[in-house]
This record gives sequence, C-alpha cells and structure tokens, in this order.
Amino acid sequence: MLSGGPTVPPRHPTLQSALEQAAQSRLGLSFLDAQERETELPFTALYERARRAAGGLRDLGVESGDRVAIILPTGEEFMDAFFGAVLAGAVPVPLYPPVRLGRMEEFHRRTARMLQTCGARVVLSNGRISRLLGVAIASARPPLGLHAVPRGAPHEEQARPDDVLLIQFSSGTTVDPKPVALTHRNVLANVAAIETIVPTDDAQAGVSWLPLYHDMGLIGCLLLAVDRPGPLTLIPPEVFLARPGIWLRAISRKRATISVAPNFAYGLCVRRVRDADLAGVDLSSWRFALNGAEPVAPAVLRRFSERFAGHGFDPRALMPVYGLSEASLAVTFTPPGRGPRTLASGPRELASVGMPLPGIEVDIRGGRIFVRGPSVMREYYGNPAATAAALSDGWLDTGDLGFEHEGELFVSGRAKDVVILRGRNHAPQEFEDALDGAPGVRPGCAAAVGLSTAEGEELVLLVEADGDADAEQIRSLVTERTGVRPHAVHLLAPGTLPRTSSGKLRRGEALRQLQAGELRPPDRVTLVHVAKETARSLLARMRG
Amino acid sequence: MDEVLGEIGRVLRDELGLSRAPRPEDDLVADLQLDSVGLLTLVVGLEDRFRIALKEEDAAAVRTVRDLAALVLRRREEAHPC
Repeated sequence: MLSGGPTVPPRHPTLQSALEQAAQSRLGLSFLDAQERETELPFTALYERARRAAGGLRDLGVESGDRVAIILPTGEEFMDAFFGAVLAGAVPVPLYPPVRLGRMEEFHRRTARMLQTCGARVVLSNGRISRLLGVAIASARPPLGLHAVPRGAPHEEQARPDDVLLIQFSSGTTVDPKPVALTHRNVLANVAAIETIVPTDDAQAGVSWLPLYHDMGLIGCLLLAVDRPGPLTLIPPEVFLARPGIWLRAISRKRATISVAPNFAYGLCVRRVRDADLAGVDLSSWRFALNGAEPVAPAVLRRFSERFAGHGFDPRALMPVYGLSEASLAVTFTPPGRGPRTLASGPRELASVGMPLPGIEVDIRGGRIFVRGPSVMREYYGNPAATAAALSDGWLDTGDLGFEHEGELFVSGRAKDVVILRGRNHAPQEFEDALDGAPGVRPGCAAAVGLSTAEGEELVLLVEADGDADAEQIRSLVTERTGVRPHAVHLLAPGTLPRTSSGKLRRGEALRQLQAGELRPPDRVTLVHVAKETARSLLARMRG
Repeated sequence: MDEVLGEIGRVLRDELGLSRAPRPEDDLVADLQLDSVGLLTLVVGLEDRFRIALKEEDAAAVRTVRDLAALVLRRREEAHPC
C-alpha cells in the first residue's frame, strides 16, 4: 500500500468561494489564437460575466442541480457558460465541440448519447456550432433546448461542499459513456493536493492547450488557476495540434513554470516543431512539465529532452503522473525536480508515475490498482450498476494494472477495455463497430486494442476475416468513420481471437497474445479431438 | 486553383510527411490516410495562408483534394472579394 500522508484541507469550501477570492486578485486568463494574438480575461471580469450568465440561466428556467451541457471551444464564451452554470447552482457538463472537416455522423451520435446519459436540461453553444447540433438535439430533446450563453441580472446561488460541481465523461464514446459526478469537495481536495507539489505564489504562470471537456485541462489547469489563483494562458487544442510550436513559444513568452500534456504531445513537438519555430525560445522557466492521461513512453521523454535542451529545457522538469477522471484527476505525481525514473519490465521500459498525493492511498490487489481518497467520485451519474462495479468501501477499482517498486507506482497495463489515444479514452467498440459492412468481416469478430510502442499507445485492430477482406481498406474505413488511423490491422483466421466460455471477446488476452507472438488460429476440431475431450471429462467426473 | 493545390501539397509534404505529391482526385481520408489531426493541420495551414475561415459544416462538401481547393477558393472570394 502506498499512502500520500494526511489529507490537506481544500483552500475553499466551494468553487463559488474560490471564484470570489480570485476576483479580488489582479490575475486572470489569457487566450491565444492561431495568429498568437492575445485576449485577456481577468478573474474580476470572468466573475462578473459569470454572474450575469447565471442570472440568464435562471431566467431560462434552469434550476439548482440541473445539468447544463456546454459545447463550446476554448474561449471567453466557454468561461461564461461554465462558471455561469456553477453560479446558477446548476451542474456544468462540458462536451466535445466538432472538429473542422471532421466526420459529422460520429459527432452527432456521440453528442446525442452524452446528452441523454447526463440528462441535460439545456445545451449552451454558439451560433457556429449550433448549426451542427440539430441532429443531436432532436434525438436527445433537452427540455429547455439549445441556447447561446444567456445574460441576465447578476445572480449567484450558494452551494454546499457536497453538492455536485460538475460532470465529466470518463470515455467519450457513443457506446458506453460514463458520466463521472464530482462534488465541490472532490475537486477542490484534488486541486489542494496538487498545490502541495506545484507552488501557489502568483508568479507561477501556467500555459495549457488541453481541451476543457477533459479533467486534465478543466480541473488540472483551469480550476487550479482559479483556486490558487494564478495566471493561465489557454490555447485552443486544435491550434496546438496544427502548430505545436505555439505551445512552446507561449511557455517561453510567459515565463511559465507549469504546463501539462499527454505523452503524444511531447512526441508531436519532437516531430513537428522546427528550428524556425523556436527563434528566441527559452524553456528554462518550465519547472513542472507534467505528463499524464495516457501511458508515458520513456523514449519520447528522452527525445524531447535532447531536442529542446538547447532551448534551456531541463530534463529534470519532466514529471510523469497518473490519474483518472473517476478520481477527479490526479492520483500520483513524480517528485518535482527529480526527472523520470524508469524500470525494465520484460522487453518494455516503464516510467514511474511517482507517489500518491496527500490524502490519497493506492493499493495493488491482484495486480490491479485501487485508489482511495477525498477526490474519488461519488458515483457515475444515473448508473448505479457501473458505480457498484467501480466503487466499494470508498476504494475505486481503476481497471489499470500496476505494481509498486521502491515506494513508487508503475502502471504496466490495463484490465479494463479502453484504448487511450492522444490522451483520450476510447471504448474499443467505437473502432470495432466502424468495421460494420467491411467485406469479409463478420460482426463481433474483431478486437480493437491499444498496443504500447516506443512512441506511446497505438490503435491495433485484430480482425477475423475471410479472403475478401483487405487490411488497407479496413484502415481507411476506420479512419473515415472514427477520425483515428489504426497503426496496424491484422487479419486473422476465424476462431483465432480468445473468447470467454460465453463467447465474449477477451481483448486484454488478445493483446497479450499479440505481444507474445501467440495469436494463432485454433487447432482443427476433429472427431478424434472431440472423443478425447469427452473421455477426459468423463474420467474427471468419475474420479470426483 | 494551382496556387491552392500547391499549398495543399506543401502542407501535406512539410507538415504531415506525405512522400508523394497529392493528385486532385485523391480522397483525403481513403487515399491520403489523413486522420482528424491531419485534417486539422491541413485546415489551419490553409486558413493561415489564405486568411480565410473554414466552417465545421464545410466537411460535408469535401472529400477530395480538389473539393478542398475549390472550397478554399470560394471562401477566399467571400473574404476578399477583389
């Protein structure tokens, strides 16, 4: 058992009171666009605007505890909607905005499913995105409809620490979205625990390009900045993905000390940032380069350190961390200033994700990682069966596999069926369903798994197929339907994929067999074989 | 049209590491294998270069390199009519 020691009390009882405090400071947010133009939003203005949005929401008929879905890009409107919902006593539920040139069918289905699952009473968006929400709104039918962020007379409801503050989705899919309900106390306890590692004086600037519909961007960056309070520069995720250099330039310009990203982002910078993008860039202020939300690949961290050492980047700033949305966000942190510690585990090299934060305990039971602490969720909203499966006696079954070594946690794999790509969780069915109608592929005869490579986790499809199937065609189809390009598609003889006795796919076992080179077609079942098996079971029964 | 096709080729080569020159009839996803990040990189590159804004709903009309080039030209005329 690993323990982070005594709980630190949250700095504020509710987010309302954190926001009131932040509004007394001269600090705030600043937004960068693709041309690196900056828009300032001081916390004072953010608070005033949120109070007016709260009044507008009450005028619309929003009541305390109502779920307010928010589908907006990173920007001022998002802040109005999110903090407006909080001050209205409602529960904000940030969802993914659509991607330009992205495939709309998937967006419609996913959005409708998430709106239904969280029981959204109203949806807030802007004119541009609203035009694309018709299908999802018609199918989910939120009672108060779809609106731009409303304005009214300033309003503020008081909240209690155990009221639900927000709902975030643990994996954003059409198949099995699980809405994680977090209270003010959960979130502010996690933020306070992070603040024991990351200093809170207001000279500590943060930069983030992470999406605000995900725990790491929303809680780890935005709500941390409000709670401390501290200055935070926000870059829309799509701007970072297209121009990764903007992230590093912003860190340099702001003399930022804190910035967090998933493993793939560090790899993307190595591959795509050119010397021309780095003129005058100095990364020596960056002391907390946190790395979480997907498995950490030590080789990527080394390449990142080498590539940017000439720009003042200190490899000891790299901090692999571990967390999950069911625990609000953060569970373990690498000690700051030390740098990554790695360990050979068979052919793989694993990075330590450090030690539990204060108030958090980590236990390994039969190889599975369990977590307990004040930031663990109360429930999956409206899903008691899933809640009972994940939580018992305050212990959260993370579904991740790991072990303890010299007082630190190493995450070695996953028992739950989730594929984590670019920091986002996907249910495997999302990719398996995308094979529907592909020639030579029968329904239910494919497994999507996340294979760890030197670059990080990659999507691999294991497909039982006959002679008509074509791996390249399957790859295109999945890319087209899901926006994710499979790293590899393996065509297998029917019957190769491991299944349970009731015929359910065993994806974890399929992945293990793939890695061990053991994925083989079944032995042919002959009459002799059947006779032998029958004889064996008869003998066993007689002996019993 | 050639200028836009040239810029599409440049982004695909320089930013996305495509080894061959794209043909106008190439399907962005099926032939060029662009995933959502690849598409975004292409969109933001073109928006910057031609000072236009592509919209989310534009996706429906765009399958091939030629479709994308035509869309960029249309948006550019709207944004800078002379």
